[in-house]
Amino acid sequence: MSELAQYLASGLTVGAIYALVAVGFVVVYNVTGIINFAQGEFLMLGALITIALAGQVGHPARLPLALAVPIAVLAVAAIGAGAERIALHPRRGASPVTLLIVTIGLSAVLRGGALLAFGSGTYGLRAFSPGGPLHVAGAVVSRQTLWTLAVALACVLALTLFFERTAVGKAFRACEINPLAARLAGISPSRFGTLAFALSAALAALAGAVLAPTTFAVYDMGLPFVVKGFAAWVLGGMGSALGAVLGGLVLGLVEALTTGYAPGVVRPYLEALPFVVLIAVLLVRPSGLIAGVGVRRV
Amino acid sequence: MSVPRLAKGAAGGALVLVAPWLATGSGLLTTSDAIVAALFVPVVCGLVLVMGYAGQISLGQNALYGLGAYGSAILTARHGWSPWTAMLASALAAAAVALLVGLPTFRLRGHLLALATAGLGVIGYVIFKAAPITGGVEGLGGVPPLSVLGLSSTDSGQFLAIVWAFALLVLVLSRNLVASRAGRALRAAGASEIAARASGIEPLRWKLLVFVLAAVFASLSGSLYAAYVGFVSPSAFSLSVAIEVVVMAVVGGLRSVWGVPFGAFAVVALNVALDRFIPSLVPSATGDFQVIGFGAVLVLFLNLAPDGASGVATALLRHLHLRRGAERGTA
Repeated sequence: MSELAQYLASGLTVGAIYALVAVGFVVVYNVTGIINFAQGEFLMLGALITIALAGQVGHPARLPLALAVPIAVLAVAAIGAGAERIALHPRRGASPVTLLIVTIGLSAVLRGGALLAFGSGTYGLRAFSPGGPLHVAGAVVSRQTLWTLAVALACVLALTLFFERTAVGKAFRACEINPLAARLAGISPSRFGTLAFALSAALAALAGAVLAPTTFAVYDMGLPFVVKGFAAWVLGGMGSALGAVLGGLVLGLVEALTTGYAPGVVRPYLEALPFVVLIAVLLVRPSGLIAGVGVRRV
Repeated sequence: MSVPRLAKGAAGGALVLVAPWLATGSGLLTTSDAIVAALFVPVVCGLVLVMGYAGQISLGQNALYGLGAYGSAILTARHGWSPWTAMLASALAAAAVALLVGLPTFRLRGHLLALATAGLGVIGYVIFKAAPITGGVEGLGGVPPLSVLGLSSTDSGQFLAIVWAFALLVLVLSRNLVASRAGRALRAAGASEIAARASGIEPLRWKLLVFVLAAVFASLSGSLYAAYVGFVSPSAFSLSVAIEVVVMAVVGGLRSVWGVPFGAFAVVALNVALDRFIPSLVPSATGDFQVIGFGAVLVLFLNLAPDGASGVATALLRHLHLRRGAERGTA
């Protein structure tokens, strides 16, 4: 029984990370129609920049985490906004495929840049709060796991409040629902496109920072999260942030349970699981249910 | 055909014919780099047909390239088949896979298709790594060389000739396809499915045909690769390769068959240049930092030169009044 609880706990934890990445996809896609392949790199940068600021494990500490994390998140948000302005905004009229390929290029630039700046080694970050693991409902969870879940929950709540209660958040939704009407109401969809990128980059960066103590940061850690984030987003219906969160949690749980219970001969193939899920969902859901796919060329 | 046009065609043709030896002779590329570029030409050509003409996208060409390589390797090294029959069998398998994969996925909209094909490309990569038949992560060795018309794959210079001859064949075939009635049907299918159907063209069939063709091109190239290197391992067929192929297509021009060799050689040259140049800027550089160059090239080209080098060349020629109002979609 406690084995199952353990798998569930780790599944929820990693699922929370997928959820944050997937929510980032939703925000960008709904406002700009772009699928942002570089989202995983924002997660990676969040982790590495936090470590650079706070000091890595085994070396003298620098800034306190309470400072390092927000600064890193803001820095990555700025990078995301900058990337959108420089690389995507000029081509905003182009086809979604072209824009997707541009984001592939962006992800390569960010990944290569991180490799040059940080090298190919792995870096550790100290846990957010000291202390040993705790026993919760039959599972042994590290304090960082609780931090991860808490951060994810806080983000989801904050985003919900933002989109429902604040003027800026509502303007965001207006851009998503009807860009022309939004423009007529004085809202600039292009500026919100940049803001969407900044917000989604911030979410990924935060996910990266809270993940770093658990899994170590390395320059190419972003790629698997892009794919799994996609799978989570598509699983959740591609339309809403809530769907993305659910998709992320489900994917995390499925991953943990299959890894835990799969027979040895199947294990090497499990790496492909998120992709199988992704393709299965893409094929099974009729295209009509996908919201906001963009103008269908006739 | 007018004389100037014939002369231009002949000059262009001659240039393309000797391009690899221009590159190696001038010291720009080594013979093995030129071979790498030449091996990619059929793969990229297939991608250009799929993306530029049929209006679809495939980010999974690496898996088909790998299928040709592994297929040939397994059949020749483990079962003693001749390299040519193995090549043919692998190509047929690749065609079957493309058909099976294309049928359900090609009705997906643009960027969702991109995701699906990327996913399939990675699934292929994982299978290459995990399946016992492929020798796993260590790979498979003992692939016999092949020879044709007295040229053998054991000699790099001779092999370059073999690969380039094949690449040219693929290019000419593609060019003829594009210029034919079939090509027009293809472009109609790519531009507007509804309009195509109204003209009696069934778009899905054409898009699938092109996808299968691209798979065959990639697989044949993969088989050649296996015979040359004598060894196949999964790292040559990862997602980065799929992306590199897309970069080559973009650089050459997504709607240009003749841009393909330029794109392939340019990207390989870029790779070499970055490899030499960046460590002097950043002494601690290790690993595959060239991706930063590929990414930058991709972003720059899609923003500044969306029709690639061929688009730039066409615009230049038109500006110099050497070509009048060239229609979009011709090389």
